[in-house]
Amino acid sequence: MAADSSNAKHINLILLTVFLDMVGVALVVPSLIFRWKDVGISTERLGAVQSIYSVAQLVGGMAIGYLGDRVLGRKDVLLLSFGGSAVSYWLVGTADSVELLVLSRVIVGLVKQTMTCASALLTRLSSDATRAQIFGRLSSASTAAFLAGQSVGGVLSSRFGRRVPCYVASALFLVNVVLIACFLPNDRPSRKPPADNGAGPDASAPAADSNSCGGGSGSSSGSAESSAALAMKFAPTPRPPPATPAAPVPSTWHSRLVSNLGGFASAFRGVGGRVLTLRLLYAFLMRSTYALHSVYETQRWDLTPADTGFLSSYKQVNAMLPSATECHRVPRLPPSAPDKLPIAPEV
Amino acid sequence: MIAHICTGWRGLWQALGLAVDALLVGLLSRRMGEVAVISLALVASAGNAAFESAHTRFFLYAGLNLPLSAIAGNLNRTALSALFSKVVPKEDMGAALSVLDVLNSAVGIISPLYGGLLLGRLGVEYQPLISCIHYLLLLVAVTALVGRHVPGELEGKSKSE
Repeated sequence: MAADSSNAKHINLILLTVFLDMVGVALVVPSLIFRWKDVGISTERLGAVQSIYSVAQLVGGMAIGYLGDRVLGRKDVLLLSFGGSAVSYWLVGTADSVELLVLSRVIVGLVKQTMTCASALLTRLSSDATRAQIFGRLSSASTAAFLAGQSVGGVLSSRFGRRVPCYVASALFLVNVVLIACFLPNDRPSRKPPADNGAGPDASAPAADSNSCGGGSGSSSGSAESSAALAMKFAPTPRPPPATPAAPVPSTWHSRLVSNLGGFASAFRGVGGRVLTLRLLYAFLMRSTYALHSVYETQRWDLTPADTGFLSSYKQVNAMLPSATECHRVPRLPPSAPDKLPIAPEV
Repeated sequence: MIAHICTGWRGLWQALGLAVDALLVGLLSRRMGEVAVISLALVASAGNAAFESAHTRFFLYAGLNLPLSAIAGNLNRTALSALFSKVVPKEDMGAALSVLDVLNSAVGIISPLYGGLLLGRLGVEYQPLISCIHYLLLLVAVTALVGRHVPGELEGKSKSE
């Protein structure tokens, strides 16, 4: 019971930080294209910048995933993510050259993995019965934030200047840093593998909350659960040992590479491969067509930042309600008849 | 002006999103099959993009082009995913999804380069025309890749089994 209420508190905290995070991102969206125009970038170079951002996201995703699971723990990764975002969005506001704006995009691409981290934490904190509902709330919170944030960002930009939404966003990320630092328990992975001797969680847990300014607030709730036990909940899942070591494993790196490439190529065989090709072609053509859609819209319809914000919110409106209603429906489906469930539209 | 449009159309916009997600895709897929739904949505998208390039009224863009494009996009994505989940065998789904994931990341890197080059050379005002051509290319790809190859028994029937 106490654990449930403490989990609920942390779940709500994570949802709040995701909401603020998305508001921060959305505030800058309407003025970003105008900031690029301010520094005089060409359309071709803007496309190249988006590619650089995608590369940074890819590299950052892998690095942050490794750091979160093995080195830092998810709390520290969230702090890194929000701190980096604060620096990056402040840079968007102050930058007067293409190079600085590109640097801001690289930083945000590398460190901003907040949704991934938040999802991992929510998975850990939620039970099987409530997980779908919590993820529905996560999706709704982020959509609502994006919806409102873009309109507010557009208005801010029109009234106070194009740099102001960037500073406000940076401040919101700093608020998130404080919230996470103060109210989320530490979950830094232990270097030593936990002894599996049937001892309670306190026996093997790292000294959690020793440097967390939220340690006092966590215990002041009167919860019977210790902060170390809470930290165990946040800690990354230990990988289970391999069940059958007898399976043949390619020994050299090139045989592993050939094996992986073989698996890669086999995905393109048959009807499934043709549909896979079609999905990739669709993604490629749609992304290339709409990668610079905001440039087209501002130029074709002569939009101001406020107009851009309203228009972006208008496009987002229909995304929120379906996700909320669908996710509330999922847990009510009968668990005894999995074969009769409809095939998931998006996996 | 735009704020008024947004407020006025918000209810209709939400209803459209819900209708497409909850009713239209399932209904059309059952009746026509996913490939036909995808083709229909691509034709509608191409027509919509051609119309967008022909007029100069923002009111038409916000009130007609954007909702139509969103509905057709929803139909396309959902029907493609449904088709994918039907034709890929269950035991290969993990590998297929990981390949899709990896290549989607690559697409995210290459596509802005291509889009930027295209719009930079031709001019941003040609964006609707370019998207119309891309939709037609996709239509050709659908016909060539899955039009004749997807087994009829898989299409639109597996849910009722």
